[in-house]
This record gives sequence, structure tokens and C-alpha cells, in this order.
Amino acid sequence: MIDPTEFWLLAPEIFLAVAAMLLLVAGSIGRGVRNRPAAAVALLSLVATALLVLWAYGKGGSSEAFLAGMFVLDSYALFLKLLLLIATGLTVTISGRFLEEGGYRPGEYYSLILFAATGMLFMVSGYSLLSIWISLELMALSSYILAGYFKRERKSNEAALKYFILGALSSGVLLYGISLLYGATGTVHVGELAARLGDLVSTGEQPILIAVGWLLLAIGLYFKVAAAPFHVWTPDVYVGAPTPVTAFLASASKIASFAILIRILFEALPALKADWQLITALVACISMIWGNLAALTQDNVKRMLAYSSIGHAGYILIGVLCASEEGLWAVLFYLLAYAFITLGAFGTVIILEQREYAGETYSDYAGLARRSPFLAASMLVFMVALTGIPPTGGFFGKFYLFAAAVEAGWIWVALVGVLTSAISLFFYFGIVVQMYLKPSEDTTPRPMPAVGLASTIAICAIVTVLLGLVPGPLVELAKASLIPLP
Amino acid sequence: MEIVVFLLFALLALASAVVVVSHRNPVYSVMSLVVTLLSLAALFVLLGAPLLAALQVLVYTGAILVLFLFVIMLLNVGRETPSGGTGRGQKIGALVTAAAFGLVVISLLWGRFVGIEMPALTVEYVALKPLARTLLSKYLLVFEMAGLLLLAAVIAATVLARKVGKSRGETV
Repeated sequence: MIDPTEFWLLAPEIFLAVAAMLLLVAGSIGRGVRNRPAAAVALLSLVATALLVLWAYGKGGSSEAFLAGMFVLDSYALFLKLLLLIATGLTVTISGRFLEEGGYRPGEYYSLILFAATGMLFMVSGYSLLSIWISLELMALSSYILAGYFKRERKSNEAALKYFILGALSSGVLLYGISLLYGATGTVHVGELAARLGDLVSTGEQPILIAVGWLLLAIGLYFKVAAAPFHVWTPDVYVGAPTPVTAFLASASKIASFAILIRILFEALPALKADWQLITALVACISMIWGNLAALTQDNVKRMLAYSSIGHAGYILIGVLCASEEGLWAVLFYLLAYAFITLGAFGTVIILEQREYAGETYSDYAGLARRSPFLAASMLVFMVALTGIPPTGGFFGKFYLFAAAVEAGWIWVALVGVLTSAISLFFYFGIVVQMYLKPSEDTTPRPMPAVGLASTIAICAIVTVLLGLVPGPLVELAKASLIPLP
Repeated sequence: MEIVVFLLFALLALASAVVVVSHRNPVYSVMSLVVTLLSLAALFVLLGAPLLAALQVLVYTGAILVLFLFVIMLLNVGRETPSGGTGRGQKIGALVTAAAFGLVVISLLWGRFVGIEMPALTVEYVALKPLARTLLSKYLLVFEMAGLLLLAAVIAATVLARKVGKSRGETV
């Protein structure tokens, strides 16, 4: 049933998993590896994996699922895989500081990052609910541990425990939904599921088994993308986790979760399009309103960014619920822009952090423009982009999403999006005001940050601005990476 | 006859599952979980899947729950003390949610079951050899991914269990 030669197309995933295992072994010999070599190996293997992804796509990329219908290597998967590898690579470059200063072992850390990335690569290619679920668990399990990697800090322990319990709950909900859908249709294959659901739904009465099944499935997925009202885990986990891990969760993990959300809604549940559009519209609005309002009241920058990521999950869901070509490529564009913005913003937070959790409040940013013009300028770029003001990638991202919503007739959702973006101006610019207008109590100029960290922030800021000046190429790329519409 | 056996084990499974969550002594909870899983194994036999039943007894009751017991006894976990964290509102919320979900499930059982017609399980499906063949051909990818998942779980457990150094300079 399976042609063994098809396994060649899994080369990127297999390579990355092997690299993760080698790092693990290297980390446990003697005194273990030091941070720099470990990070270099991790980065190199991510680059090699990206090349292998391109090679595999060139060799056998098509929208036909293979390996008994479990795995698909279409242009959608290609786009997301490369994006995920970039986001993971940037996470690696901003991780060094906390490992070195805290004295945490780098071998296992980078190994777990690579394991999570392997899970993500499998997720975006999953074409069976079974393979999607298992790869989701591979990503989630690695992330739980990464969130608790600051083992001496109670907040980090708390983050790991909360993330684990709520993550396990949401995985259970997801699996329950999958099992009900399997009970109704007798298949977990995405394509067959769509066909059989179509038959069942077209007979007129929609069996309640299917209704409960897809609803639980969707709720599990909303949990994973941290959309309100399924967001309760997000703030505590984002604040408690080591900041590089928070950046990883807010960028790569979120992208992969959105990838499977879209794959499942578009390709497995097209028969229930009207239903999930409505539910997604509600979830999107609640996320945008709650995320942005709650972010207004925060004093801690990491917590503010956590709530803002809930709000941004709402914006991205706008593109999903349109179920149109414009909506889909707008989502892909936004995911890429958002990854760079988030990683850059959290990178800046890392530099300002001292002694693990200090230096995270708004007032710690006072007078930053005087002390470190580079950091203040890049943070300014990220805040402007998160608000959605030109000339940044954040502006075009939001613009395309709202335009797609208006075109698809979801004007009220777009309206909520515009209004909440206006609200977000207050808390994003709270930081800008602190940096540029408030005098600083601490006038010592900050020492230059490590090269890796500084160059990552610079890259993120440059990409953010570039996307705002010339969005065309990325739009073309995203347009070429669509999946069949429902 | 079959319905009697089914009802017996189904009720036993439900009752022992309630004990698992309600009893304050963790050892009792684990022992009732053993009863739950054994009753489920009996239900699998009724469904015509003896292999699954055997695996359930071997893996879950035999290995995993014994491990649970070991851990509980080694850690010397006493009776669960009320944590005080569960407020009144939380309890009411939990009850309302449970009731709502229960209603959905009941209506699911009441409603006409509409779904695909599945062939009854036969020996060709559930015997060891065909099962192994399916697992290593159609589900080969998922099988291998599960292996990777277990490896990640082992690493995770090791990282969590490693002793934490006191000072910041010490490698953790």
C-alpha cells in the first residue's frame, strides 16, 4: 500500500529529528555542550532542513496526499514549512542569553526546540486527522517542557504546569471531536472525511454526532491558537515561560496551529462552511475585543504582548472565516509579518530583562531612546507594526485581512477589527511614550547586546519595514500557496 | 444475555470512574481506575475485539496503573487535602458546564444515529497479524511519529526530573 520510495520526501522531517537526537546525545556526554556550538549546530540543521524542504518539494510536491493519504506536500505546506523554519531559527538566535546567564543546559534546550519544529513540519503536511493530532502533540509536549525550562523560577514552573494541564485538556477535547467525526463517517482522512460529510449533510438533517464532533474539534483548535474565550492559559504561560520560549510560542507555535486550523476547516469540513464561518466570526470578535481591552490594563510588557497575541489571533481568524482566496493569502501574509514582529518585540524584551523577570514593566522602558537609540528605534518599529500603521508589514497585513472581510461580506467583523486596532494604539504607544518622552532614572548607557541577539532584532525590524514598503513579492508568494477553498 | 453482560460492565465502568474522581485517597482512586479499565476491556470483548481487550489489560491495568501505584507509594502521597482554591463560583461553573455537556451527549444518544454504515468487526480486522499489517503499512507514518513522540516524552521527563542546582552559576 505504501511505496517505500515515498519516504524520501520525508527527508526534511527525518533530518531534523535526527539532528535533534544528535544534539541531545552531544549534550549528555561529559559536561555537555556549550551554548554557542549547540546554537550553531541547531541553526545549521535548520538551514539544511530548509534546503531539504525545497529539494523534496521539487522532487514530489503536489496536492495529492501520499504515504497512505497521511502526508501532503503542497505549496501551502511548503510556504508554512519555510516560515516555521525561519521562526525557529530566529528563536535559536535569541535564546543564548538566558541559557548562559542562568546556567541552563543548552543541549536539551535546542534539542527540544528542534523536536517541536519537527512536529510543526509534520503538522502543516498532515492530511489525516490522526497524523495531524500526533504531530500536534509532539510540538505541544516539547513546548510544555520549554515553558518550564527556568527550573529555579516558580513562575516558570507555574507556566509549565498550567500549559501542560490546559494543553492536555484541549488535546483531549480535540481528540474527542475527532473520534465523534470518525464515528459518523468512518474515516480520518481529510479528503474522504470531506466527501462523506458532504453526503451526510446533503441528505438534509445534520446528525447531531457531526455537529458535536466538529464543534469540539474546532474548540480544541481555537484553544491551540489562543483565541478568546479559549485563551485563559495564554497570559500566565507567556509571562512565566523564558522569554525566548514565549517568542517561540507566540510565533512558530501559533503559525503551525493556524496552519492545521485552516487545513481542517477548509479541506475536511467544507460541507459545514456556513456553521464554522459563524462560530469563527464570533470567536474572532471576542478575541479582538477581549485581547485588546485586557492589554490596556497591563503594566507588564510580556503580559501586554500576551493579550495582544490573543487580539492578533482574532485578526487572523477574520481571514480564515472569509473562506475566500483573498482571505487565505491575507492570512499567510499576516502570519509571516506577525512572526517577524513578535520575534523582534520579544527579542527587545530579552535585552531589557535583568535577573530573569525584572525589567519587564512599562516604567523600565523610560528614557530608553537616550540610553540605547537602536533598541528604542526597533521597539518603535515593532509597536507601530503591531498597531497596524504604515509603513510597516503590520499595516498591509491588517489592511488585506479587513479588505478580504469586506469583500466577502463580513463588514461587521472588519468594523470590530478596525475599532479594536484603534484601541490598541493606546497600549502599544504607552511603551513608545515611555521610551521617547519620559526621563530615565537610570542614565547609564546600556552595554551593547550580544551580536546574535542584536542582529536578530535588526533583521526583524528591517523585514517589518520592508514588508510595509514592498509587500508585492510576498503577496505573490502567498497567492501561489493556497489550498482548495471550501 | 449479551445485554446483561453489557449493562453490568458499563455500569461498573461508570461507577468506578465516579469513584476515581471523587475519592480523596489516591490509592483508592488508582484501584478504582483498575476496575474501570478492566470493565472497558470486557466491553471490548463484547464488541468483538479480544486483542484490544488483552492489550488494555496488559498495558493499562498491567503496566501503567501499577506504575501509578508505585509512584504514589514511593512519594508517600497522603489523602488529598482540600486546597481552598476552588471557590463557590468555580464549583457552580463546573456543574453548569458538566450539565450542559451531559445534555448534549444525552441528546446525541436520543437522536437518531445517522452516520456511515460500518461493517462489524471480524477476525480479519482484529487478529494480531492483520492488525500488525495495517499498523505497519497504512498507518506506518503515524506509527513512526508516535515513536518520536514517546522519545520527546522521555526527554521531557528527564529534563523535569533532573536535580536543580541552587546557585545560578551551577549547570542545571
